[in-house]
Order: sequence, then C-alpha cells, then structure tokens
Amino acid sequence: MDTPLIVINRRGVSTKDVFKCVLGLRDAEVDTYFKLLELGEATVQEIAEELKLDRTTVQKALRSLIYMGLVTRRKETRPRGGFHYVYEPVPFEEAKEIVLRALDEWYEAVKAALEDARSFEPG
Amino acid sequence: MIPARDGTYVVRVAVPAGWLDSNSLRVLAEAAEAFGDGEVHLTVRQGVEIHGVPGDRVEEVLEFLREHGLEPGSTGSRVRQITACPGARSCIHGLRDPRPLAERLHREFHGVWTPAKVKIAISGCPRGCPRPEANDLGVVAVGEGWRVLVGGEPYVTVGSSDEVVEVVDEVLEAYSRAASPGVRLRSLVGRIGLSFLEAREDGVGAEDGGAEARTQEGEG
Repeated sequence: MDTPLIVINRRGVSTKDVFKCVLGLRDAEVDTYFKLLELGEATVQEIAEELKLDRTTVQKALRSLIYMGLVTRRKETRPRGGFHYVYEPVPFEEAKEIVLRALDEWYEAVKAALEDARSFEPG
Repeated sequence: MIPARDGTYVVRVAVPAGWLDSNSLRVLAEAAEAFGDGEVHLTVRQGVEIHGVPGDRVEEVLEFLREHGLEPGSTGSRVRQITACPGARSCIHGLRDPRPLAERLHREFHGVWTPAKVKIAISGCPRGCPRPEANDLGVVAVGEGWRVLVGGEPYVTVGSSDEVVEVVDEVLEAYSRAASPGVRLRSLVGRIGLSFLEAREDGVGAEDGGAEARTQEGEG
C-alpha cells in the first residue's frame, strides 16, 4: 500500500505547514501567530516591523487569528491619550489542541464519506 | 483560484468597492489574453474572474496581477468582496457615497477568516438596491449615519465609518465564537436571532428602522 505523502516527507513538513494545512491558514496568519509566540505580546506595528509585512496585512491576519481562537487582544491606553490593542497568542499547547480537534473532525468526516460511498462515481 | 470542470482554473480578482481604474482594466485585459481565454467574467459580487487559466500558469498570473496592484479575490470560509452601490455619486435617492466605507471595510476585512463565507453589502440609501437585508451583514446609509443589519435584522445605527468597523469586528468575533464551521452568519441569526450579540443601547428596533426608511424616502 502506498504511504501517504505527508508521512514520506515527514522531515520536510514543519509545524507551521501542519497549522496551515489543517486550519486552512495563510502564510501571513501562521507567521503572525508564531511571531507572537516568540514575542509573548505585541502591537500590530511591532509585528508588522518584525515580519516586514504591511500593517493592513498583519491587522487582517490578527483578525483571522482572533476569530479562530488563536489570539486574544486587550485595549491599552496610550500615555498621550487614545488607546491601542495589544495582542497575545493562546499558548502553543492550546493551539495544538485546536489543530488536533480540527484534524479529528476532518478524519471523521472523510471516514464517514468513504463509508457512505456506495460505488465509484466518475467525475 | 477555483478549479473549473474542464481542468483549467478561474482566477478571481478583488475589486475594492466595485471600482476599477482604466489602468487596472488594461492589466485585466492583458492578463485575460496572456493567461486566460481572452474574456473576463463580472461576478455577482462586483468582482472580476479570469477563466480558462491552465494549472501551471496560475502562479504566474497571480504574480503578474500583484505586480500591477491587483489582489486575488477571496474564496472559501473568508470575508468575501464587499458590494456597494454608487449612492449619492450618481443616484437621485443616494444619501451618501458608500465607496469610502466599502474601501475601508475591504482593507480591514476582505479575506479575513470566518466560520463560513461572510457577505457584506453597503447601500447608499434605505431603498437597499445592493440587498443589504439579504447579506450576512448589511450597512445602510440613513439620515443620522449608518444602520448595520446582521443577518437581515436591524442591529445598530452608528455615526461614523470608524464605528462601522468596530461593529463589524465585534459581530464577526461573536459570530466566530457562536457558530460551528460551515454555519453562515445569516443562518445563525435565522436560528437564534441576535442573542449571541451584546445588546446595544444605541440599537434600533425593526419598527423604528421602517419609519426612518420612509422618512428618508420622503425626503429624496
């Protein structure tokens, strides 16, 4: 039996690749999450400078990560008035759980689809 | 990028607020000739698609478009292209020009991940030609600002674009927490109403909205 490609290439597959593939994340999103893990917490501007991405791209990536449950934010008052958001990643172990849950759901869905398949249908 | 039945690919191009300048039109024409079947399709959400792109040229056409300032349009479980009418620019009924707000929402939300696709429409007056009530999120120009509809239900009326961005962000975050993957915002609202959102003091009820809409039409 053929071994699945992902197992053959196990050495070439990074954790970032797995996050991207299983959660359907984009490069900017996965890079933002891992950069936040490294920094602990940061503002949009700080992440944008670190990743050399424009602010809009990072802002959107952060929104995706917040909606996905991988990042949280809190409002912080600026010394000169107004406020900005400070972003924090959920701990890596928690993120791993999210990925594992998504993987399990996908596995169950594919398994159910295969079991329900009655015959080969071309196209 | 969407696979077509004949084995070629469709490359979707984002068109912020539904406006393209003459230079972008030339770039699209060139891309359609060089990489596609020489035509473009105008999507129902005011985007553009280049059809008939061979699989091994998809990266090349995306690169070409990026070099000329055009971005791919979103597909899948993401915020889709925001649609808007020309509003007060050219319409006798228009109360305001929705373009700046549509461009702002495009910059802030287009392509952002959500549990299922999210469609946003902005109307320049309460007549609602872009069908804000049929979209996941609708934004409607009214006398005192912008009324936001969530899943067709009036949620809140706010005064500025900044506040619309805040409200859209809050709604999408609450929706992402409340919905299972694949459940559209509109379906969620159909099932449980707006109970997953925080009640807002500045919210308007459906009846008030109706009265307001009539006043506005009377003034037009």
